[in-house]
Amino acid sequence: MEDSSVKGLALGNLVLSSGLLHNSWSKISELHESRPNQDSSSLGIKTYQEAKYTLVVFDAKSIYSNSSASTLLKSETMNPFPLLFSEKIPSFSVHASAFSLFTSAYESLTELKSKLLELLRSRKPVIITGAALGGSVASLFTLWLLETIDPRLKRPLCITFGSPLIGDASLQQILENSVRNSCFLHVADAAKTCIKSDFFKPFGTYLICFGSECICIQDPEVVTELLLNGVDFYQVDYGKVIRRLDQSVLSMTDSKLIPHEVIKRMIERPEKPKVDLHKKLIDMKISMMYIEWYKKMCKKDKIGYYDGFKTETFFSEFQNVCFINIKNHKINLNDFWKSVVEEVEKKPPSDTSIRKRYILSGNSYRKMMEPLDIAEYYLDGRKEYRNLGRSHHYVMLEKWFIEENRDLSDLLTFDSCFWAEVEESLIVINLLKTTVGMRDRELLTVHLVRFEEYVWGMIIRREVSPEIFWEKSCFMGWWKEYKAIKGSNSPPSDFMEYMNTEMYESYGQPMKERIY
Amino acid sequence: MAFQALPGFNGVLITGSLTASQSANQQDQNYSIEVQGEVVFFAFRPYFSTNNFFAPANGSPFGEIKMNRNQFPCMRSIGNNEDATVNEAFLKNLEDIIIDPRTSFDASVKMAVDSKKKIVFTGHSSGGATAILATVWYLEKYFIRNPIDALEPRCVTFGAPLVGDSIFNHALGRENWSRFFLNFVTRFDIVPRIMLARKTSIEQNLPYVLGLLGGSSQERDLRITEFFTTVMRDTYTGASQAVCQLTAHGDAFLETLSSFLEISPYRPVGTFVFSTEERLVAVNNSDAILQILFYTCQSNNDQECSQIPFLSISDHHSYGQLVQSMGGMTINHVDLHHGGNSLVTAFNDLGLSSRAIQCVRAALEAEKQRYKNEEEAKSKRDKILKKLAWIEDEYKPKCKAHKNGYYDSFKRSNEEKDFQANVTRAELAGVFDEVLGLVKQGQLPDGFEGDKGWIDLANRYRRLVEPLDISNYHRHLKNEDTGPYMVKGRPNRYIYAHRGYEHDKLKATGMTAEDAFWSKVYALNLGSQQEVQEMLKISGSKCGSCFWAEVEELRGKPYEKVGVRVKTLEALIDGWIAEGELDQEIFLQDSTFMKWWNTFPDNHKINSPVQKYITE
Repeated sequence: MEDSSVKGLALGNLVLSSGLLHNSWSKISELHESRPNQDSSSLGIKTYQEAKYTLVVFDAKSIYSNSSASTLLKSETMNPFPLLFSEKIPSFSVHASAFSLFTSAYESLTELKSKLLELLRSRKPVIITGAALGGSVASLFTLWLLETIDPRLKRPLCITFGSPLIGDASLQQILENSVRNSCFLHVADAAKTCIKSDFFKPFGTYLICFGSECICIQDPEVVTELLLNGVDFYQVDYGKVIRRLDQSVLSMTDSKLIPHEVIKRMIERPEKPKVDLHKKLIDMKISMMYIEWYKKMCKKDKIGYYDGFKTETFFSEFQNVCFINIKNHKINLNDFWKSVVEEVEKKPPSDTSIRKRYILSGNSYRKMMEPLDIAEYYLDGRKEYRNLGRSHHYVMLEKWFIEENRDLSDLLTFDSCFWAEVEESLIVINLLKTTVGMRDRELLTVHLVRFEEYVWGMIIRREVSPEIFWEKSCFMGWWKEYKAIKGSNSPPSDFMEYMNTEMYESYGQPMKERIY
Repeated sequence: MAFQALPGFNGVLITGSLTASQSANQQDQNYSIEVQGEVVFFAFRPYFSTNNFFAPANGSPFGEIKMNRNQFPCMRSIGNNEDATVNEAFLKNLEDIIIDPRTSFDASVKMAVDSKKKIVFTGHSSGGATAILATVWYLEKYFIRNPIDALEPRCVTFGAPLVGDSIFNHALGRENWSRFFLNFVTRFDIVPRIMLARKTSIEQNLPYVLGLLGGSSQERDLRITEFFTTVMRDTYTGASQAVCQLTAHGDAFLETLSSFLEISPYRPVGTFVFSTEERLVAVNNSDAILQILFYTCQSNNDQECSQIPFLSISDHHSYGQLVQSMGGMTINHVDLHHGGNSLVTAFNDLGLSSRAIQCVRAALEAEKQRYKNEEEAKSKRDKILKKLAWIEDEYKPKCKAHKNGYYDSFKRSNEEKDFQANVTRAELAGVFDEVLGLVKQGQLPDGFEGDKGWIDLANRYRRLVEPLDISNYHRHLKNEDTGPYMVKGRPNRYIYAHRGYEHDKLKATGMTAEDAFWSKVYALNLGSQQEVQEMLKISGSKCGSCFWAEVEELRGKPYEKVGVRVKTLEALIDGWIAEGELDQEIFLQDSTFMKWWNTFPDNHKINSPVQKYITE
């Protein structure tokens, strides 16, 4: 019932009891005091080697500016975060003063970055911290560090104290649901912090302090609401805030509790229900089994499943039932894979783990299913599938697969749009029958010849399934027409030779029979 | 009154334990024996030196060590196959007693068992820790191997430190042994909290405080306050992290944060009875006990706050008083069976703040959820049984018509029934994978892994369906591009089911599955132990339902190269058939196995132990 508030309080307690805040703040103060009278353009960076972790402190002179001046970073222009952009989100904006401080120290930060990566690689914990603007620069630096990090490595933790927000809604969206988001802890005193800007949005986890209690909140909307009404102070001594929290640990008399409304607000915002992905995957596996079975049944009757599906041929009662099922399974599979592609596209390309998990099964799905979509498309009398009809998710699944460059020797038709090409060629042949103009006829013939070359290339590379040569196949239908058109007008090409001598009878034979 | 409220315990056992513990404190011996009628009390003496809390050579932050599986085969998790962790110093205290030739501890226990006496292990302070481990030792050595003669033990501790980790607790829960443990804790007693603190944070003041705890001086040194505050701070971290695990399980921020923390592995086991002035509260949920250990030490005001550290020392010596007054007190319970008002009263008795109550409730909620998950898992039983029955009664007999079994039929997958079997296989995999996921994350009650009904179901499933998975694996030639089934292909749901089965079967023998396998294989005398071990390092022979994986792995290889493995496989077949691991249909004329077997040299065939199954 009150799960999300209990969770927030428990996380708050854990952060508080960890001693990490106390230690970070004392080093921040130490560095700050050692750099009096610095101008606003200088950045202090110091590394402390603690017993259990390495602590990197950023110190910047606080300027009283809750300004929303921002710098726009785009994927196509030079900037430190090329791997954070995704197809869906090609740009984001960051806090201008923090970013200029960050870039001004670019050289020394590059050195620091490689040093810290080394530590993380050897599983040594790293904390990056700073207060106010220093914390904002610490966040940018952490973001930069995380950009290239292997998710298996130890994750660093960035702790900021009363720092201005650094990124816009796009950055927030990039980090949402990413493990990177878990590396930011922002400490804010509710009474003394104010988010005025509509432009910048919070990300990461917020530890919001109310009097002697604190609570962790990850929901950006709740964070924004809670920090809307504070009075913005020039500088807050978080040392005092932490001490006040600490003292309350062994006492049950909480004088200043978290306002009831906050708890209520959190209960009102239940966490997003988790999708039962596991069950979904099993269902998809079973759907694929049905399609594979259908394919096998078609094969028994020497008709390719593409043609079988297109002509709605069934041979038995069971197949009939199967066919109706197939349509349902097809819908389920398509919906599932569309949503997977959509999810993955939201992530920056450096988050490859989720993509990798889906590449193989996505590929077998595409090869199995796209021909059936093509069959439906041309049955409806439409044309130019590849350009006009192909669903975006097929394009992406194919792209990922090629990028991974897996073993391409699978027996199933490699180009899942093969059938669309056959259909287009059949349309051309029909056109040819009714076209009289010499020029038009020539253009159409060029198309046919190009298709011939395409098929021949696929045959040589063993990239098509032997079922295209079966008697009832749509491709063989095309061949008969094509042969008639070509007639004896021109010398036979290699392809025509191959087809005329029925060499395709042995196509695919030496290869291992692979069943799916 | 209070004595009746604790099932399995009574006034005689509790007062007897206290008397025995008190007299053990006075002796030179490290334990003492007292007999009262039909009950024998083994009481262990506490020690108050640092080395008795943290083993000197132990480098881990909480002085912990893994238990030895050969000595304590039950003390592990089946799902994650991990051994329990205990405090090394406490374990050593017990081992010293067991091996000490002067004390003949083991012989005394054996005598008590033989005379059918009820045995109670007990102790105050670190003596209580020894008692807990002695009870586990007795359970493993006597109770489980000889349940007819060895009676259920009892373990009663007074102000004992925590001994083992969550796996230790889980294992006791799985074997249904948690009910034997009863721990008394007076409200502020520091000792039950000590093991929640990091060694490095308390090291400095520990000898001083232990000195006070062992003596009776009433000192009011600042070091006491310091020590108390340090222990409670670490206890707070541990308690907070436990609530986070319950309410924010899988949260990425929690994961990141946790990698910066050092958190005590120790967890309470059994039932805890907390006393607060006039009240007694019994709790048996380990997570809830952990919360109470922290939150009962919070203070109401500054004056109390300055007093509590000193009470944390004196409370360690007030168990005599507690037990004396117990008879007239009522016990309130914090558990799932006592909801509503009773729970509220118990919270009041413990003097918990509203935030503390939230945490305890979160622990109870999580337990409730675990039972709900179990119910849900078990509700799938009928569905599973129906699917298994289809394979057993329809699919398998139909396949036999081809003179080979369902393994070969599935591998060919030419018929509708094979397709249906494939769908059934995937559906069953879904159900069992889901349950395994819950087990691995601790989202089921501890007892679930010990549930005989489920173990049997999971193993019927394993025996019947794993051959189909192996068939599928080789049908797709995955052994060629991915690697052998036993290395790369075997699904965890089968490994898990097999582990549970072997544990259930072998626990009464005190053997581990590994031991049992190797002793069988060595008895075949096929070569030196080292050679044989090397050859069978990865082999389908380790499990009956992997028979086909071994056949597939070996049949492509020349007989001379794999003779030892072939002979091992054949030698195990008899046992597998008797146990129900394997079906005689492997001997059908056209099966992959028989076709392969027929290629063996004649002198092998004549001497083969499977000859008797083969009819021309």
